[in-house]
Amino acid sequence: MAREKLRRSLLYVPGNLPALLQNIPTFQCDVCIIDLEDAVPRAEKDAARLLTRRFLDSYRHRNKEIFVRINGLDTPYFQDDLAATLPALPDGVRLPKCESPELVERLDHLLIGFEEEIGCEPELFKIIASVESAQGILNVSRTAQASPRLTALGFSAEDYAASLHIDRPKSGEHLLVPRQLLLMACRAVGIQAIDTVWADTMDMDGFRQECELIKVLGFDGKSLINPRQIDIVHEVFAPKPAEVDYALQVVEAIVGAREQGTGVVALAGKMIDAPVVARAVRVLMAAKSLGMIDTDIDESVIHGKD
Amino acid sequence: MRIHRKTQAGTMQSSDLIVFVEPADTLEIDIESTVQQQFGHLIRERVDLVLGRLGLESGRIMVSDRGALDYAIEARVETAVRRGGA
Amino acid sequence: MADTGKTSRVAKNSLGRAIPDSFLGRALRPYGDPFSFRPTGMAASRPVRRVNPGDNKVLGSLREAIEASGLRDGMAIGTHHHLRNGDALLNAVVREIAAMGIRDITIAGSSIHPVHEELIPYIRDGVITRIESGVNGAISRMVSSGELNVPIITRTHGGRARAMMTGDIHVDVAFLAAPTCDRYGNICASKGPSACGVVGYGHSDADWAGCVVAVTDNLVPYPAFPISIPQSKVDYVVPVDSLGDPGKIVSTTTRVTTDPIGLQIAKYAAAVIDASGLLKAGFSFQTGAGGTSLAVAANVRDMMRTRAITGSFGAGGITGYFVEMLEEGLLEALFDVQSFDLRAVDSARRNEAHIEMSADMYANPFNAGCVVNQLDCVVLGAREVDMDFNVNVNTESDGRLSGNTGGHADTAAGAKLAIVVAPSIRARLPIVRDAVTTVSTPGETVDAVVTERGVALNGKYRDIARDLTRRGIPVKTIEQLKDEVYGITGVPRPITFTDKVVGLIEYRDGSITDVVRQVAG
Repeated sequence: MAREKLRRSLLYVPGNLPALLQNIPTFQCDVCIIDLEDAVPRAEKDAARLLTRRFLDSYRHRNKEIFVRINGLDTPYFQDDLAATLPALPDGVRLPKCESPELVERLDHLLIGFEEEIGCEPELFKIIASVESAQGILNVSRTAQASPRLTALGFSAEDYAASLHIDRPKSGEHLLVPRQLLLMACRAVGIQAIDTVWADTMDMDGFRQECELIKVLGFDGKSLINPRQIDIVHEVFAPKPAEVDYALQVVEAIVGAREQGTGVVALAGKMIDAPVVARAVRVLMAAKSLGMIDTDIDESVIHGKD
Repeated sequence: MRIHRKTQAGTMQSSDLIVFVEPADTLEIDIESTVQQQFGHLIRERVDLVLGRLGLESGRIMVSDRGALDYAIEARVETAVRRGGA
Repeated sequence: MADTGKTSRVAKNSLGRAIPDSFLGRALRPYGDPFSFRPTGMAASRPVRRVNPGDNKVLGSLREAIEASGLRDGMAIGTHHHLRNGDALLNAVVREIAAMGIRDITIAGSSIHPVHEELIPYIRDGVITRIESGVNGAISRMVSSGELNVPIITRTHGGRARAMMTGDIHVDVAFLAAPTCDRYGNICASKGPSACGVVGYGHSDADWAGCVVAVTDNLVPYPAFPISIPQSKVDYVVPVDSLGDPGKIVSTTTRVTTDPIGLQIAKYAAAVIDASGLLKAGFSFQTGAGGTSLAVAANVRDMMRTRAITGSFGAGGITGYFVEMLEEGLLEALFDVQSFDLRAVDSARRNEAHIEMSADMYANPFNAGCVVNQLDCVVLGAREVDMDFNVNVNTESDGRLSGNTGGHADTAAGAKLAIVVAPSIRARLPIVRDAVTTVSTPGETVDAVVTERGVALNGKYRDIARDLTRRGIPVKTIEQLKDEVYGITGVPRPITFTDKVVGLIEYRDGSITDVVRQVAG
């Protein structure tokens, strides 16, 4: 069963500025997305590729996931983006402008080729695909199924609103339907749903409100453009103490059952199946990162060796 | 590989460097740095390493460094050489 | 010309630094520890004087004041630095001194700033031959590189007050910028076009200088008030057109940093304060005025608001952040030795709970008890920190003298919890390193070093490590921090120096923590 990573906070870091790249190890987000796309002017794309590659080469012991946002498959840049950065073994690729499942399939094939060339294990590189338009939302349930590498879908509200020819009110009522559709598509397939960036870095109250909304809706995390946003996301997505207690009980029950060799596990009369365990693990990881619990989470003990 | 045209890579920002390259008959390397005393030797080492890896035979390479780390020095030098060379 | 100490014997002090046994003809005492040295003897003295009814103190010009003061070759002048980089007075005084043909003068003010680089020609010409003051800017860098030949003795704020009180330094004539002043010399610091809030550093000059001249660009009818320095200590009053540029005296606002590294450091530092157990009713603290220090202050303020904690006082150089806390009722009082921004200046004028304190009251270790002794917590910056937790705030990593110790060593010694905040690296230069270039503040007075990579704890505060780890804050040894940093930057080559001593770093008790030698090459 998918041992899902904690992906509450996904911070974009421009790939062409050394001063920002080298702070990546100190940020406390779950994921950093090194951006070769919108943050980098055309004339600097070659420089950004090399900076990203050499930085990742020097960042061997990673304390977070690293994804690289390549340029879209409709540009002349994506091939060089992949060739330059994949040898440094990021965790995966963030694919922008993912309006159809065919684009995910294309990227999947490209990644197979690179994995062979590099000589690393197959399906090493994951994909997070960004849905950025009305068409993309309409295709979202097929896109979500397009590849086993696809570990999450991201929603990009800025470009989506532009595709609808509308402004972006902060209240966000125009985003309810696309958010829900994306969420449903992700849940049906069992992958994560990541919400759009909040651009106004001075409005922390508005940012917090949006985080609270998307938590209620069921998102797993949010894309960020400023490190100051990280703590707020983590606070909002913090599990309630009751959730943490329940998660601890689930883990205890699973570990106990494994020790006794029983297959089916029940807790308080309810069946504990794999998705429940996975959720409990995520809750405990979040709780640990916020200092709510002391104990270490040994996933091999929970999931068993398989 | 030789430098065929005059070009550059990098910025003046702190923790970055600018690398200027231009054609020359031999290989000439000039480095100035805000941390010359403390790290000049390591910067030179890294520049030599990259130019060796790229097989650069000739060109004037001028580095103006503002405290960049090794990975950035490598990246910027390689970018400048690729932009200016063949 | 002055003896530069080249032929003195040299011995290591308790910090392992080589200190000559004398400098400029004066015997030097090497630093031992922060608290044991007991002073003996009486305080310095100055001539008794008499001013009768009808006597006039107001003089027409700086020149008249210099003449009246009896300033001669070889004497020392004093100023305060409350006008910071907007000061015009020191330059004007030296210009006049030079024009009158007086030479071989020591500047013994509380600090000099880049605006005083105008003095460089006068130093070259021998009008100024010694600087016993903190020095910021080109003068100190040029002295380090040998381009300028004038010895520098840097003291802490408390140390200057002590030195003037004991007579280690005698200021013959003090020229005190007075933002508002009356004809009899009552100095008010919080009013006038050049208002600077308080004149904390000027009190020592008023108390101990041979002759005290108040210079003002705002002469008001008698009496001027509220009184910072009273008429009974002021010999002459000189009205001038302008004391300086008000725009550069105080900032309009001082701001919390937006840099993510600074904010992370501030978050960790606030957690250290919380874990220390000191944050409860009656809490007192001080921070610097830099962006990261203010971010710590903001975090502490938020914790105090949430828990309804009323602190006893805030101290030091005062910014609008502390004024806000005072007005909100989070603090009962402020002790202000220097106002950093307009809000602080305004509060000093209006609020009796905003108390002006002299450098003596603030930090002199040889009186009946100074304010730093009452501090629960101080948050300080650093240029460098080493494996013994020593801190350097006086020299850059290229070896050149460039800063004033200020209240750093004073507050670190006095406060229960002294926290040093700094990024681990600045433009490839390791802040955490094997050995600091210069020891400004001894490590035994530093309790924690907080960087964006984690916290290193010293001595008695090691016990809070568990609490910090539980909060998700990385706790590392100072050696681990250094190894991490060197792993990223590479190991720096040490700077080489000649034997020539160009400056002394004097600890608050008069002992010497370190010397600054001329940079080689």
